[in-house]
Amino acid sequence: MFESGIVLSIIGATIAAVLAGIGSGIGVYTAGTKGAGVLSEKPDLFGKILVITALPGSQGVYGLLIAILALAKIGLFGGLAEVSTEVGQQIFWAGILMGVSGLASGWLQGRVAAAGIGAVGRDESVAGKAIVLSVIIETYAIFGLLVSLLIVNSIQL
Amino acid sequence: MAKIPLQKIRITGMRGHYKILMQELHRWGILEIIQTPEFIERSKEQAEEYFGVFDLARINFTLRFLAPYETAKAKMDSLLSGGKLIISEEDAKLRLKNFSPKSEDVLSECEQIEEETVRDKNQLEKIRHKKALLAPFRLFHTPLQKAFHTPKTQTWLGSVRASKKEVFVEAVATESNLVDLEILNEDEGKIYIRLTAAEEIAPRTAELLQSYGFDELDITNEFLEFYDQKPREILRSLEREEAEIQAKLEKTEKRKYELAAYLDDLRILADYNTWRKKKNDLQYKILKTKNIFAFEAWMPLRDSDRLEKWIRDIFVGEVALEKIESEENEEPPVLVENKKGADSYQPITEMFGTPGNKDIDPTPYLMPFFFIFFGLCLSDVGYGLILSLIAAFFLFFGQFTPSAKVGLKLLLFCGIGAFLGGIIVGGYFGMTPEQAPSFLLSADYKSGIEEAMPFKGQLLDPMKGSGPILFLIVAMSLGVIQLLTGVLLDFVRRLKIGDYVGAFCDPLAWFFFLLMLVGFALADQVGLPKETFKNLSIAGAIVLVMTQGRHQKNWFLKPISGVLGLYNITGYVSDILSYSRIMALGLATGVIGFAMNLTAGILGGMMPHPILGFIVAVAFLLFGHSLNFALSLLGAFVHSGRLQFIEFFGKFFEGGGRKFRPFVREKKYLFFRNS
Repeated sequence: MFESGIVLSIIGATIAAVLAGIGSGIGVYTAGTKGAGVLSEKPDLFGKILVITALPGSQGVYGLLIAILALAKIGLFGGLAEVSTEVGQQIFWAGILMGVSGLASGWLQGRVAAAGIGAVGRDESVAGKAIVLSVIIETYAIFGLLVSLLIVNSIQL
Repeated sequence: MAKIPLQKIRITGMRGHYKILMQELHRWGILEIIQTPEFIERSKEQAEEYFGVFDLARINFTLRFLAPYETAKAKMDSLLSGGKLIISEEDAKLRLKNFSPKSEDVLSECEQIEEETVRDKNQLEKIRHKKALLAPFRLFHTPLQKAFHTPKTQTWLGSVRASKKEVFVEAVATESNLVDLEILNEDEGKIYIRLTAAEEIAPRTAELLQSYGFDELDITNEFLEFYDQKPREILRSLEREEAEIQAKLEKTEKRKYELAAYLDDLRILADYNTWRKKKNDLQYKILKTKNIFAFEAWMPLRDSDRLEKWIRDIFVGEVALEKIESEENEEPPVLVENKKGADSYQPITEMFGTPGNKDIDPTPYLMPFFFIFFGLCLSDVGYGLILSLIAAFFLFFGQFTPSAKVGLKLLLFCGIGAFLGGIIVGGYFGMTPEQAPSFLLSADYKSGIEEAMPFKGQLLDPMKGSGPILFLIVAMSLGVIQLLTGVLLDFVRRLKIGDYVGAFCDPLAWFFFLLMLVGFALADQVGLPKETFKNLSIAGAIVLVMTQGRHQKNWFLKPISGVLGLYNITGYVSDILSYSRIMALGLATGVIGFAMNLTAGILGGMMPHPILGFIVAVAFLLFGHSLNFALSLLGAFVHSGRLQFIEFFGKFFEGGGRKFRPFVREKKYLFFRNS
């Protein structure tokens, strides 16, 4: 079945969405549990904590984005195109690239976000700085997204 | 320009004027009173403790306690005023005067209600538990005392598993004819029984019961106070008690709504008490003797003459203000103010930190970049419009403090940026040209020209052909421009602090070198002589090699350091790459929006009836676009911010200044009209 371009493409799209989604899930989980702990002490901080908790969620969105682009490319949403094995492999690797970069960066961003939430719990005024620290790690998911985008977009069927 | 010069002053005066002076200075709010160690040592007077702290905690508790009971209208009003009470100062004073005598009653009533509610709720819980225990035995017709205090028999009430009913009844019947069993009730899984045995066989009966897993209701303990009543009567009195407590709880609930009418008064009280505490805390920074007082402070230079004149006029020489030099190694605080427009971007700089004493305020310079970056990241006409409209609505209909208004204006600008960005890349709620209404489409596209941009005013199509690469180039070019601006600002900054050698050797040399490299890269496109730029770049590199090693003392190490200094070019390259996020985020908004539209269409098509399908599709569109809007907004904001903080500020801005915090009446709950 790994000869079929369509199957390879769908596996690639799935990997992008699933791995990046797992990364975001773990990240938001890590930040969210920490956030809930801080909220029990200081419920007024909900707005700030919500923003920091949401930050590791973006990798999942990037994964979804690549998955949808890949599926649209092979015409899954209306009349499947002829997909060669080579094109299937290209989409497959683009998916792996997005998935792995999203998994790692979302996972670890969650830890930075959780530490940031701890800091905000002690001193509200550092919220902005905690957000910036957490965003630095997201850069690498964005680079993964960028390269995946370029790969998927440049494919000629 | 943006940083306001500050002046250190010392105020000395006769003790009798202290109170009035402080009152007025607190109202002016332009002085940051500083701690002067020698003053504290010399202060002869014992500091007075402020006992209002305890009251303040009680007031804050009451405010939190009553806030949910505010009327719906008041809640709406506070939404439009950022949660502040808008009132004139005279009214506030009047209300404070009227309310002060009553305040103790309100506070203690709220505390009492809180305490009683907790107690009543516990009691209610207990009653319900007892009712549940006793309810299955409702049919037991004897008062407890009669049933359990008998000389010749022993009685048990309890339950056995229903699956054992037959064998149990059988066993009891064969046990002895001195045992009487009554099945009072049955429900899912259990039978509730009353069993009476003659005293002499009681121990054996108890064993029998145990062997069938009899769950005894310890009625004599649980219902001690109802000893002379039948279970049905007990239940009735429990119900009566429950109803009473509930009625009482409802009454207190109503009372809370009545008490909530005092919320505004309490807010005034809270702020005034906070100010009193602040004023009292000051005594630790001030020299006070029997006859005089003295303190030192920072204030904006522009206000110092006005304050000096005012003090002279009011206190006729009995209080004096003198301007003094700051001590060596003393870091003055930093006050930053920007002109209208740029001031909306001040919070972004504040997120990173206050400019240090040697920094220039970066706000006016980051303003255009942030505007463009945010616009391209969100890049959707619809989302931009929504954001602007929400911000405009609150700005127009709400009454907010100046600082809240600044934030709303920033959102308004961001929305406009996203609107323009959306036009450039053709983002309209993620719609494809086929889905879009025709008034949005360009004439060329409608007439079927192959290469035409689909939407009116669209400059690049990020999803087609070379569009993505073009977008990437645009993003990185913006990065190059911002980095060069940053380097240039570093040049200005160094000139300002008198580091002339550094200014020319570092930022200016780098600026020249980088600019020549850019020229070299672009020469072919714009038709300039490539060779010239190549030579100029090499010249720039040579200058850098010569200057970058100037800190080394050893003549042998100087050229090596110089060559290594050139290695910094990699930092610039990675900075420029970082700007590619603008393109990635810009694309993400459109593609996710497109995916939401697609899913809504598919979901709607799956429904059995077209009207149901339409409703489902619209509901999903609302949900999906709200999600995309929120996530894209957050992403666009934090990443545009990050590009300022790390890439841009990294070139010239250190931050770490101490913010000027004046002695001012901080209003947590109040907002004075005409002030």
